Amino acid sequence: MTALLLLCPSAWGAESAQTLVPVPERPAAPDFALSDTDGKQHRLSDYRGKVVAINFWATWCPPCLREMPSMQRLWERWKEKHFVILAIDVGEDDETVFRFTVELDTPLEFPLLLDREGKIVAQWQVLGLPTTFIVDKQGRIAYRAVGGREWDDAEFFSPIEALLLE
Amino acid sequence: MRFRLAWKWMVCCIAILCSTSPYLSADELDPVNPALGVRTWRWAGNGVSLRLTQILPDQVRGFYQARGFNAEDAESIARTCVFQTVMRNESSTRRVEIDLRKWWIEIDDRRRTIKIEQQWQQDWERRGVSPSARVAFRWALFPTVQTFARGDWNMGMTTFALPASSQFVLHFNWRSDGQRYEYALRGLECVADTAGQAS
Repeated sequence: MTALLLLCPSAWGAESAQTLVPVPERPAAPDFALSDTDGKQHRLSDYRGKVVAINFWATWCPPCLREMPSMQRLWERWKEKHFVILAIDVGEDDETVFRFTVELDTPLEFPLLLDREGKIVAQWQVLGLPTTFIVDKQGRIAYRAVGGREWDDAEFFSPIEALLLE
Repeated sequence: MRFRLAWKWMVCCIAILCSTSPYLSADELDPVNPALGVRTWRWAGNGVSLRLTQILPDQVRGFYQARGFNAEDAESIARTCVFQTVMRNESSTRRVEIDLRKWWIEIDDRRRTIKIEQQWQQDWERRGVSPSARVAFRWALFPTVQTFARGDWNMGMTTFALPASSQFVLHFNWRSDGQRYEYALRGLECVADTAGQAS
């Protein structure tokens, strides 16, 4: 009896599905230029021809922190295949973000950008953190995910692979 | 033979439970968190789950003072009955739309609204709170209006403008496929403010 109930995940409040939501008609991604924690500037349009994951996050946001290691693993999987992650911290300074990265068990190797005044996050019409967008090679928003995800879950591989092959 | 029939009946019942459980509703109260002494209320049904956890006033004070609020302004939030709120779209296909302006609370037979971000931002403008602190506040609060696609979820603080230890009922609602759903989460309680009692 117990075993049967354990096979019934919905009865026990299982976690949400690992989903990427396709964005209808793929609107153009709003361009931005932001500095990373090393002071290097990144302009989204400079990454045309690559698939770019744009992740909005903050150091105080628990689901943001939880998904970061899996985001690093996702980046490692495709970093040689024109896949880029730009993680944009909202509303914090470089010192705060730096302190956070030092304390992480998993070193993050993709750029951490700073949107101190929250202007870019407003342009992208984000409502909650974390929110992640996948931008295709032509600079259009192909997918969106609101809330944390396990980014190295196999569910994400085929949509990202398909974008890389376009 | 009777045993086999009983077994088949039981398996059928469990199969029905499994297939329909996303559409059953339930209020659940978690055990008190032994480390912090805070409580969590959960609700799940119709493809949506909602979880509210008390946040200690001292946690609120510390969080906002570390993000540019002075002690007085952080205190005004800490005294507002704050819950960490998590909502998920658990359905397999539907979009879920919420608007906190349409949620309401029932306390002592009176109906009140939730204090939403826009009302707070008016306070912060009047009090001259710095733009960076206001940005932090905006992102820490549960958004007023949200649409959850399949698998989407979000967490943030909700503020109820009630005194410490108040007990109330939260009436929450959402729209999905053009239909409106409304449920009540009963027995919610603002956490006691031990610092406030000591002062």
